[in-house]
Amino acid sequence: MIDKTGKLSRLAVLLALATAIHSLESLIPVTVGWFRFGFANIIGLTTLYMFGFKDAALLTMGRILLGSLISGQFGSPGFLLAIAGGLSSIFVMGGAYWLAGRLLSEIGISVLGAVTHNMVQLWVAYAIFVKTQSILLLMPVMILAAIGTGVINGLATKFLIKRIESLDARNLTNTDS
Amino acid sequence: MNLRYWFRYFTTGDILVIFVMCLFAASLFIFLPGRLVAGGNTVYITVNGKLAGRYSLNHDRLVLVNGPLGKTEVQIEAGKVRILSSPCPNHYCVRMGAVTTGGGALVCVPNRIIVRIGGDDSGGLDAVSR
Repeated sequence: MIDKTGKLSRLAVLLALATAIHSLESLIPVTVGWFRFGFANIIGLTTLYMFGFKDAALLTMGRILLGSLISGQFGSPGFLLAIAGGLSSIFVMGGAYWLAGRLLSEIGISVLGAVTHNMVQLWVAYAIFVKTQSILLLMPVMILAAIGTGVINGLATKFLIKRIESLDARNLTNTDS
Repeated sequence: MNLRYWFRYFTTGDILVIFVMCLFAASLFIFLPGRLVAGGNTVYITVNGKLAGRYSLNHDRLVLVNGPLGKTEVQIEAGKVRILSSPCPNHYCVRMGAVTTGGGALVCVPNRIIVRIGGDDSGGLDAVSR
């Protein structure tokens, strides 16, 4: 549907959006220590649906690199956690999309990604930084939180994709005529 | 906000995924604490700052610890530790009562004995993810 240049510019806009969301999200005050919404994943998931796994993985990498440069997290423990969580979740989402893309909508895939993200982060935090088994007790809480944020992000992705598609349809008919 | 309105966005697969994940979390809620608490709770007894012994909190036993003043009796029973008797003059350590899994310590200053509860290796938060 869209040519190479169009794809490149779209990916650029998506990456910019993801980076902005990633950095802005760290400004949202949270009451519970590690809790985050992971809104940037909306863009990752949208890219997965629109351009496939390879671009989505690249976008997630780029988003974390750029976002952590902006928020000054680059190279910090938090950065390592973000990389581990982000990459593992995009891999799981890509796999789930490939395996069960017919059965699951954006919501189900987003939930799977969010759960993976949180579990991997907690595990990396345990294995590398904290080394106290008691933080693994957070696991069920993190999974429940991930289900909640996964549903919210999945719905948002759904709306975003629908919106982009309807805009596309309108633009295409306009340029054709 | 109407719940049914939002419901139409979910496929059957989505609901299934959410359900399975909830089940997973619930099972972790039930199984994880028991395993972790059983594996991670250890009583450390130090005399004069040196480790004199490490005991599991889950096995009841009576430990005699040799301090500068004599023998202090430490009792581990039903997941709790208390000092039963001590040769020290004031017996503050005996009156400290029992400490349990939550952490804490019993201290007998005259006999230089500290009974402390810790995990495999205890540490606090080192990193916060952003």
